[in-house]
Formats: sequence, C-alpha cells, structure tokens
Amino acid sequence: MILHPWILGLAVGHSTLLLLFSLCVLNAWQIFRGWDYNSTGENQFLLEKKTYLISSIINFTLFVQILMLFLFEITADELANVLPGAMCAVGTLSSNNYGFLLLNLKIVSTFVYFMWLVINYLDNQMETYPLVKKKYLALILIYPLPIMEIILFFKFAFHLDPSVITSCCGSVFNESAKGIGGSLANSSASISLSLFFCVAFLLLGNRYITCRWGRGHKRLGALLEFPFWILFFITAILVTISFISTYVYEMVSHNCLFCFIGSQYHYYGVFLYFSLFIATGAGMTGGLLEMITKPAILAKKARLLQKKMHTVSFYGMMLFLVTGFWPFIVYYIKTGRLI
Amino acid sequence: MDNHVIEIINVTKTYNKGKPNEVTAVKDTSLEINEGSLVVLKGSSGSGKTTLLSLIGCQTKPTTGEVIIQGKKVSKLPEKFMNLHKRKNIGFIFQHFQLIAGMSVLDNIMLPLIPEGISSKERYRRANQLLEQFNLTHRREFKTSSLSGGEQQRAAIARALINNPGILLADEPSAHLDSELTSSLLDHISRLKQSGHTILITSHDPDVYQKSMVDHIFEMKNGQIISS
Amino acid sequence: MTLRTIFERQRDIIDYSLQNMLRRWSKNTLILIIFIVLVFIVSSVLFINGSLTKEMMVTSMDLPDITVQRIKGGRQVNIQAPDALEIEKIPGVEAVEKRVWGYFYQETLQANFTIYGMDLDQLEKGEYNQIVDWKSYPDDIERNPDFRMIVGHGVLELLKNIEMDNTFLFFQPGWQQLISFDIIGTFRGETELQSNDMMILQIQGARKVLELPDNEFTDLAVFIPNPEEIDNIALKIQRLFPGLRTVTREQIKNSYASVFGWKSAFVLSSLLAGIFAFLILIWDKASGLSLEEKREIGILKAVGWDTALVLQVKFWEGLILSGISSVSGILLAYAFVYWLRAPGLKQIFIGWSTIYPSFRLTPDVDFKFLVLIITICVVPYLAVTIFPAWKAAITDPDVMIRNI
Ligand SMILES: Nc1ncnc2c1ncn2[C@@H]1O[C@H](COP(=O)(O)OP(=O)(O)O)[C@@H](O)[C@H]1O
Ligand SMILES: [Mg+2]
Repeated sequence: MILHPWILGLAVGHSTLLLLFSLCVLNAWQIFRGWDYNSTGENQFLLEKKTYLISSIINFTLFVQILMLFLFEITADELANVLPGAMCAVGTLSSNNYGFLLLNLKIVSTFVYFMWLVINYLDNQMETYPLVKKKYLALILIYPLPIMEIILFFKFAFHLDPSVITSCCGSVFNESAKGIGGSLANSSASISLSLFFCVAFLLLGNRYITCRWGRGHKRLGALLEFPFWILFFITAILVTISFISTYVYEMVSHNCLFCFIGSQYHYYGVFLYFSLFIATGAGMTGGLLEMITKPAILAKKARLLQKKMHTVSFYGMMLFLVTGFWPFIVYYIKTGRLI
Repeated sequence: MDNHVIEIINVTKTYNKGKPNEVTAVKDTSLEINEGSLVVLKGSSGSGKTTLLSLIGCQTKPTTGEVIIQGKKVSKLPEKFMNLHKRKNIGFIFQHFQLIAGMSVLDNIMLPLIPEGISSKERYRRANQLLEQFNLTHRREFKTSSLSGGEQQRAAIARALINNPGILLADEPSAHLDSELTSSLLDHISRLKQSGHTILITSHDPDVYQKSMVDHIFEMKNGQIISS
Repeated sequence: MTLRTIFERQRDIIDYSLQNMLRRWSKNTLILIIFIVLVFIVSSVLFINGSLTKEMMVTSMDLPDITVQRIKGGRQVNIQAPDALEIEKIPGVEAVEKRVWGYFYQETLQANFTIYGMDLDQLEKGEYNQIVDWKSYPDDIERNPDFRMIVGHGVLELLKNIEMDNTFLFFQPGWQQLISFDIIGTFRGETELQSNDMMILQIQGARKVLELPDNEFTDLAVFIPNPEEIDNIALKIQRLFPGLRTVTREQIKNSYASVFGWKSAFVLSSLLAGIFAFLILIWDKASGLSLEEKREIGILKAVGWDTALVLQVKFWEGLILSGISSVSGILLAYAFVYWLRAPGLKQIFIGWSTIYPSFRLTPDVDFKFLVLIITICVVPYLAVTIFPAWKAAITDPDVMIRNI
C-alpha cells in the first residue's frame, strides 16, 4: 500500500460514486417494484419524481467516471516516481494484477453509463415511459460495476509495493517481451494497421449496404454496429500501440499508450482518446438502439436518435483518424521516410 | 356543436390519502367550458375552488377522473408533458400574485418563457409589449416588492399572458383590491374576453360575478358544484 | 430543440442561477469561505508535493548512480579503501569516488548540519566555481588550509545569529578542544533543497570533525556511464561483497518521492475530517430550504418550469460556487506556496532539521492537479448537494398556490 495524494483522490472519487450509485439503485428498485402508469396514488407521483433523482445521479456519475478515468491514468503516471522500475503509467498498472483490469473495467463502465443515459433520454421523450421497468432493472443489474471498481481499486492500491521492481512500457510493449503487451507490439504495425482498416471499412461498408438494402438487412446491419464498434475500439488501441505511438514519440521502441496524454506531448492523447471514446460510445449506442422495436412510436424516435448517433460516430471516427495519423503524416512529409 | 376547451369528467382530488388528515377537496365533479366564455366559480372559503382551478391549470393531478384541456387528456401525463401543455395553453393568475420578490418586474414577467428556450430578443419584445399594455413600462426595472397592489396585480396578469395562452385562470383576483382597482381589473378581463380568451375566475365578490359579461356562474360547496 | 435554443436556454438558466445566488449571498458566503479555505489547503499541499518531487528529480541527476555502504550488524559502518579498488575493477564502472560525510548537531542553534569532506582546491578549479560565492580575506593571517569550509545559504544566515559567519567552531562533549573552520564561500540559492543545510569541509578537517580514520570513508559513489547496467552492477557488487549494501539513484528517487507523497497524503487525510464536516454543513444548508425559497421554487414550477430545469438551476449554482472557490483557492495557494514560501506548511515536508530550504521552488502547476483538486473538493461537494437539490426541485406548485 502506498499512501499518496493521488491514491487518496481516487479513494474519494470511488467512494462518492459508489455511495451515489447505491442511492440510485435503492430508488431504482422502488420504481421497478412499484411503477404503475395508471395509478394516480401519491406513491406513483413520488416514483415519478424519483426518476429525476436517478437521472441526475447517473448524469453526475458519468461525469465523475470520466474524470476518474483521467485521474486514474494520472495517478498511475505519478506513482511511477515511487515504484522502482516504473517509468510511466504502464509500469504502475502492470506492477500488480489489478491495474489493467481496473482500467478496462473503468472503460466498460463509462460506455455502459453513457448508453444507459441515452436510452433514458429516449424513454423520457415518451409520455408513457414505455421502457421504465427495463431501464431501472438494467440499472440494478449494472450495480456490480461500481462495486467491482471499488474492490479492484483497493486491491490495486494495497498491492502497490515500492519494494518490488516492476517492468515498464519499454519491456511491457517490447517486441521481445512475453505476455499480451509484448505480442501486441510484436504483431507489427502492418498487421494491426490492416486489422484496423479492415474493421473500419467493414463498419463503413456495412453502413453503406444498410442504407441501400431493404428492411430485413437494415435491421441486421444496424445490430451489427454494436460488435463492430467494440472491434473498432480494440483495433484502434492496437494501432495506437504499434503504429501511432511510434510516430508521436518518433522512436521505434517506444510503444506507450499513456506517455502522450500528459503535458509533454501537449495533451495529444486527450484528443486522441476523446475522439475514440466519442466514436465508439455513439457507435455502440447506435447499435443498441436498434434493439428497440416496440412500441412503434418509440421505435421511430429510436431510429431518429440512432441516425444522430451514426453521424456522431462517423465524425468521431474521422477525428480519430486525423488525430491519430497526423503525427505520421507530419513525420513523413518532414523526413520522407517511415520509422 | 360547442367547442369545449376545458372538460372535467368525474374528477376527485383527495389530499393526504390514507392519512388521518385526509381531505377530499373536490368530489366527483364534472364541468365543461366553451371556448371564449367567461366563467365564474363562486363559493365559500374551503369549498374547493382553488383546488378545482389548479386541476384545470395543470398544477396538480386528480386522484381520479379526467381533465381534458384543448382535447388533450392531461391528467395522467408525466410532469414534463403536462408542463408542455400548461405553458402552451394556460395562463394562471394566483391569489397572492406570487411574484418573486427580489426580481425586477421585467424578469418576473419573462420567467415562463425560459423553459421554452425562446430567444432573449423575442422575450424582451413580448414583455415590453405587455408592460406597455398594462401600463407598467415605468416600473420595468423595479423590484416587485416595491410595487403597489394594483401594479402587482397587473404584473401578475402580464406574466400569465406572456405565453399567449388561450385559457386564463384567475384565483380570487379581486380579493386584495379596492373597488376602483377591481373595476379596472374587470376592464382588463373584459378586453381579454373580447380578444378570444377563455377565462375562468374564482370569486366570492358580487362585484365580479354579477357583471353582464359573465357567461356562466358555478357555485361550489364541499368540493362539489351545486348549481350553475 | 435546436442547438441554438439549447444554448440560449442554458444561458438563461445560468443567468437565473447567478441572480438567485446573489439575492441570497449571505447564505452562500460562509460556504464560499470554507470552500476556498479547503481548496487552498489541498492545492497548497499538492503544489508543494509536486514541486518537491520535481526538485528531487532534478537534484537526483547529481546523485551517484550507485551508493555503496558497508553494513555490519545491520548498521552502516566505515568503508575501507581496498573495497573501492575492487569495485573499480568491475566492467562497466567508470569511476568510484570515496566520500567522507556525516552530520553535526550544533547545540545552541539546535540545528543539524550535513558535513561533506572534499578537496576545496579542486572544487575551486572545477564546476563548483560557478555556484559558490567565494569570499576573500583582506588580512593575510596565516590560515591552516585543512580547516576551510563552504556553507549553504541558510547555514550562513543562521550562523550570523551566533556571530560565527566568518569562523565556525565545531565542538562536542568529549573533545579535547574546539575545531575552528574558516568560511571561505557560500552556495548560491539555486539548488536549495540540497545545499541549504550543507557544510563542505576540506577533507582533512572533515575527518577530524567526523572522527574518521585516515584510510576509511563514509561510503562510495559509483559512476556508471550506461544507465541500463546500473541495476546489474548493483546486484554484482552485492554478490561479490556480501558486507556491502548498494543504493541506486532510482531507489533514492523513489524513496524521496514516496516520502513526499506519504507526507502530503498524511496532511490530506487529516484534512478529510475537515472536508467531511464541510459536507455535513453543505447538506444541512442545502436541505434546510427557507419558506421563501420553497415559495420561489413553487412559483417557478407553477409558471411551467420542469423539475429537471430547477435541478439544472441547482446544478449551476453548485458549479458556480465551486468554480469560484476552486479558482480563488488555487490562486491563493499559488501565491502562498511560490511567493510566501508556504510558512507553516513547509515544516511538515522538510524533515528533522531546523534549517529548511528557503523554498523558492519552481512552480510546477499542471492540468493534472486540477483533476485531483476537483476530485477531492468539488466532486464530494456536488455529490452532497444532489439529494437536497432534488428535494427542493420536486416541490409541488400547489404548495405556493395554497398561499403560505
Ligand atoms: N395541498 C393541500 N393539502 C392538504 N389540504 C388541502 C390542500 N389544498 C387544499 N386543501 C384543503 O382542501 C379544501 C379546499 O381548499 P381550496 O380548494 O383552497 O378551497 P377554496 O379555494 O374554495 O377556499 C380545504 O379544506 C383545504 O384545507
Ligand atoms: Mg381559494
């Protein structure tokens, strides 16, 4: 265990989140149990009012979640000063089994909260709140996310040991290293690039075909967006490790996902990941919205929202491409060669 | 066929249901009001006039029964959608004017426009027009707490009208006015009636309900309409 | 709704929130003041921590790659000259410096000085020439060249108090006589953390003060040109000489950073109680709506404002309040730490000695601190206000219609 201001900040953030989320789940349970649209009793009025409490909290939760994602990365980066062998965030995260697990969970939670809010927004457009029970059941079902997060966080913090030497991005993402990180960087730039562009073209092609073809295909195509965007996210990370990062750092052997987030690289990573998250979040939500088919008016509204999500994800993807390949283009123009 | 802008079907409103202090303020009441008419609800204090008015004004939901405004059943709508209707169709003049004390007359009048996201230019245009109409232009920037009773009354009417509602509800509008101000108020009301507004007033003041422009008088007692 | 109307509406809501807060400024002032103080303390601690860590990073550049000590019975003891020779033979080692240093406690000042033995003639020729203000003595009294020294800035200031700023007298109970040293220069104020409690003595004199025999040394500094090899060589030394302990620069850096981190976390943890009390106050203030406020919210609801809209007003109020507090708190902390040199707080950070670095730390203010300050101060504040805000926002319009 290392007592450090950053760890303290994370502890405060996680506890706040869990506390608020618990309040939410408590109320969500009451709504799930007691909701009766046709009732005019005081209880129904109160439940209706509680829906406002819950959306406020989840909105806030998403905000804090994003903040914590940053804070977590910064913490990992800062703690590298304390942990022997760690040069940057990667070293801290890989110093025990929980670091990367927690990071992944945080990313998943962020997307889940975002999707819940979009569905909630959609449902609130309808006078009868048709999705109300499903919505709040879903909320109860995702309660394990913040709980797991706080557990993992404390495990992570307690297992940070300044007396153990850890490896860092130099070795984690090193070609000769074993393990996932190594094999990721190892799967040379060309493979990850082709994978990434495959997925991107698959996505865009699927959209094109979906627009052209009739109803049946439309549905399948739209549903496929959900897994495709997950693939997009993963391959985008791959490309960032093996290709984009080398041009940002202008070094062959430096394949780090975190170093470029900070001020030394003018917060390049913030923009890069921002566009990636926007694209993926909107894209996945677009796919999810396709699942809504009943009642007809809701489905119609869902399709409208879906269109917006498609647009946003498209621009997000373009932004990611531009941000991600910008350093490469600049380098190529300047030097006329590849790294 | 008559065009009912307001329809109330078997409405009951019970406060604190199931508790010892349970009160049924409106009991199984039905009512229809035609477009463009001026209707007065009279009755002794505690007979349920204000409650009925707030049911019509979408300020509260009935325990049972149906409230239909401009053909739309509003009684079961969630707040957000009920408010949409309220802002579009209803202007409410409350009993004690209910202006926000620390704010200027102008800001008070423009309050109902904020949820609509109306541009500030348009808001100022409408507000200035109403201030002119109700002779309040010189009090524009005054705090409402520094206004006289008549001015407060006029500001309250202006606020009720700023959304261009078709229906105007006024709860005891003459209760705090002397006879001179009451007659000026009635002038305003008659002008509003001429411009096509449907108006519903609660009052136990003969000066108000004995006017010839009144189309209907309903009398309430113990939460029910006993005569019309 | 188009994007434009959404913005228009948000602006109106912010307008209203501001007006609303100004009308009730007395209710908000107390919260504002406490909030500013909290942000101020938290940011001060973080700024000091950040700058110290950074300063450590910079000064650690000068540290030897490996420090080698002899350990006997778990304690550090003097190291012998032959050890240095052996280590020098290890491939990859460029140079081994035999160091003479220790601490000296001065009774009257109650101060602990770090004493370092060096060859001052060589220093005067080398790079130290730049960072030392050399004194010249007009008189030409014969001085023993073995008893000269250079001191840190803070040391000199302190010595002025006991009028020993020209000659310093070392004495310890049990010694036969005083040892007197001439002060021939002071360090310039740049590398303060390290040089502030430092006395650099001519090596022969230093041996007398530290009571160190002639062929023994305090420890060895090993220099290795290739950073990749440092860890390996450290391991090798430990394997070859079981009685020796190695400390790499990286290890020192880490332990310093974790000491600073530990200290600031300690201060912040003690602050948590304060934050908690503050949150309770907020909760109390936010839940206790006055009749007037309740009536106003009733009016808003009655003229067609949604619960969500009133919630937005409350949200903006919280954001404005925490925004003002954060900005003022951070600015105050900046001034406090970098201009006033953090009186009161710095003692906590710089260990045992009465002489503290004079703290002209280079500002190290980064976006990352903002994230942490927001997480520690603003997030709990907003979290605590959510429930009361909701309670207020669901006020029924008929509360007000049935006149109060
Ligand atoms: N919000 C409320 N909670 C509890 N009782 C109420 C409420 N509003 C009105 N009442 C009760 O309902 C009855 C009718 O009140 P009201 O409609 O104000 O009558 P009127 O306007 O004719 O004087 C009264 O007995 C009053 O006490
Ligand atoms: Mg009344």
